[in-house]
Formats: sequence, C-alpha cells, structure tokens
Amino acid sequence: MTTGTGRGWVNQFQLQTLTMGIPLLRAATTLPQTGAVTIFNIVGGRVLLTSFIGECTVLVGGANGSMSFEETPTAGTMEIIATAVVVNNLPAGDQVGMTGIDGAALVPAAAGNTPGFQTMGRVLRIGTLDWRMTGNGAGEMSFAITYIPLDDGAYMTIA
Amino acid sequence: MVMDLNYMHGMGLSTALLGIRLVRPTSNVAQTGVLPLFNIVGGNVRMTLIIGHITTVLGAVGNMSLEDTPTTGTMEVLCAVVAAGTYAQDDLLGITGIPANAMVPAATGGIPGMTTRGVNLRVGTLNQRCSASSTGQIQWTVWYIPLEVGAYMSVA
Repeated sequence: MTTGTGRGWVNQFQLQTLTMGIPLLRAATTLPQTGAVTIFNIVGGRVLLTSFIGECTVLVGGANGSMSFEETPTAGTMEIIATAVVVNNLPAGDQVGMTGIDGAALVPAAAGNTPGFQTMGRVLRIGTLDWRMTGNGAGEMSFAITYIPLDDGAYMTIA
Repeated sequence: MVMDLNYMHGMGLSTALLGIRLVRPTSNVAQTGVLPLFNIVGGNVRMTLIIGHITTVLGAVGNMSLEDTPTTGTMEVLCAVVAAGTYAQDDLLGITGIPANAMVPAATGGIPGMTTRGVNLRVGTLNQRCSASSTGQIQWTVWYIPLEVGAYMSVA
C-alpha cells in the first residue's frame, strides 16, 4: 500500500464523523467590517465544537485589525472562545483556528497554519457563533467545523 | 447513487465519542458542605464531560468545587475552587480535568471541554462542595465511559 488510503474499512468521511463529529462547511464570504457577523447557528440544544478551521481565500487587507470569535447564546453570558489576534495582510491559503482553552488567543499568532484543539472541544449553547473584526477592508474566509450534539435534537447550521 | 457519508448521527455520535449521558434534574446547590450529584457504581468510570447549567442565579454560596469521594481510598478534588457568586443565569460550569485548575469559567460565560482525556472516578460519589449557604440552582449533565464490567453512574 503506497497511496496512504488505508484498507478502506471506514471511508474518509465516515472516519471524520466517527472521530470528530458532524462536519459543516461555510463558503467563503467577506470579512466582517468593524463588528461581528454570525457564521453558524446552534439550534435545539448544546453542542460540542470539536474542530474549527478558518481558511483565508482572499488576501486580508492592511487595516482589518484584529480577528476573534464569540459564542453568543440566546440566554446567558457571551463567551469569547478565541481572543483577538491582528490578521492584517494574512495571505490566501493561510488558516486560523483556536485552542479551545478559556482566554486563549486565535492561532496562529501571525501567519501559517493551525493546530487542533488542546481541549476535547468547546461547549456551545443555543445561539450563534460569531466572527468579529476590529477594522475594515478586503479579504475573504471560509470555515470548516465539526461538532457533536450534546442534547436531544441539537444541531448547527450555516448562518 | 447518493451515499450517506454520515452513517452515525446525533446522539449516537455523542455516545460514540463521549460515552453515556446522564442528566440530573435541576436542584439547589450544596449548603456549606458537600452534595452528592452522582453515584459511581460497580467499578471505575471515566467522566469525559461535565456541564453545570445555572438555572437559578446563585446567591452568596462562596467557593464551589467538585470532588471524587470513593467508598475506599482518598478523596480527590477534581478542580480547585472558584468564587461562584458571579455567574449569570444560563451560564455553564465545567472542569479542565486537571485537579489544580479552578472550575471554569473564571467568572461568567461558557466552557471548554476538558484538556485531559477525561477524569477517572472510583466507586463512590461525585460531590459538589460550596463553602457557604445560599440560594441558587444548577442542572448537571455528565458523559462517561465504564472502565470495568458492570460499572455505571446514577443520579444521586
């Protein structure tokens, strides 16, 4: 076996679901402009976010400022799940992510790629997962996440 | 032919990845001492996630923590104390899995999953401790994996 495809007893998407949860892909859109944009909805109950990748598809401008991500529940207190990092001039093809740890910054610190969570995930309450920028400018990003429902009937949708 | 690539859905997926879910009805918080939340019966289990949902704002309950209190052996504090009077209704409580780390979040908001691959619990009880007495209610949910034949958790 030289192609790295394994023996095929669980195909790649089943394997992803079985090990990380349900995948949800959000097509590339322009960055928020000095404020927050909802990128995913959490519906029907709590979920465990198990992975998060934001991929830069169009070069970020030089004055977009800092990027962060927030859990905004319909009831309860908003939680910043990745604190702000300056992303000016982030090139297409670079990725951003989060560690899952309370109070930790968006990763990577400058440019490049992102590791997986350092926790078993982030619990998200019913509400929205929001993307915040402190400045204005060009740039686009797509998102790929995986999650596990924690309550009966809980799921996530693309906003 | 369209293939169903997600052959395991929803709560089945939760069970496969986190283990068995156990929901404790909302109740008053511990009053200047411990309150058993869950029983561990028949053998060791690994708790993979615990969520405390604040359903009624806590009064001056002081510091809060969680403890593994086995019927045989030494009590283990599962997290360091946190001042619990700061949380809002519908905020969540959790632990990192590292005993020296305080309960999360530090003040208000949501929670991460554990930074460890769970916490082993011995036969006995999982207790909540508060250093003072006051009002407030929490609804607790745990997910766990039995580590021995016949091991399970139940609501205390």
